[in-house]
Amino acid sequence: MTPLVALDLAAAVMIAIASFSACYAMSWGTSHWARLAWILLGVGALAVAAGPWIGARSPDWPELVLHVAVALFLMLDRRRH
Amino acid sequence: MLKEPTTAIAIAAATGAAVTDAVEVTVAVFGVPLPAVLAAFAGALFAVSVLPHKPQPGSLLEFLPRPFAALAIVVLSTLVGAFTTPLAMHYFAVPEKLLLGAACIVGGIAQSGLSIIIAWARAKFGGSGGGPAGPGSGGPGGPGGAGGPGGAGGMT
Repeated sequence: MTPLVALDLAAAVMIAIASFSACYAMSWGTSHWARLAWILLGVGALAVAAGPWIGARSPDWPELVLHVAVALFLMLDRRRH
Repeated sequence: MLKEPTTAIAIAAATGAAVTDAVEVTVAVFGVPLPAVLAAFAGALFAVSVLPHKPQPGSLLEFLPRPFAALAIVVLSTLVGAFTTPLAMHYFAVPEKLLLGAACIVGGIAQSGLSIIIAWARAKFGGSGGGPAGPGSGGPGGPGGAGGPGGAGGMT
């Protein structure tokens, strides 16, 4: 596992955890668009996290930067609240 | 796009015999297509976001802290949805092309559907083990114990 793949995997796991936490805190009154966005975020993160085990290619640096930035944003946003 | 599979993963089917830039493949995790696992996970996340995620009294998950119990419910619902969807599709004669939708639905209803199925099985076949009996029942296996509210020892 290359460092790029490991970093991508870590970012995906962080995004998945943030997605689960957001879904856990939701209620029936939550906006369904927000619910859809968080669920899509979690599914995408799980698919990225499964990448190394399904033989996916190594991530390109733009998408790696995107994943790490989203993960950092979500973690920092959680700490803010 | 995809490289050789690892030992735990198998290429279930490869479509497109012609040599192209990207060969479309279906990757399977323990025999279940990966998109079906992801669809079941989406359904489980949706269920956690709309349903109360408090484990039922007597459930194995009752002793976990609530967030961990909810996480366990999501993981178990995903597994149940992924592995029982082909069975449900065969039973209800659902076309194969609806696999993802079926996996999403099964993953979503897994946490409450299992309780219903267990209660139905207890009422039909009897048995006293598992979760607690419902209110007003005469104990496990007693009148109302199988089908009463809370009579099922499901995941939740």
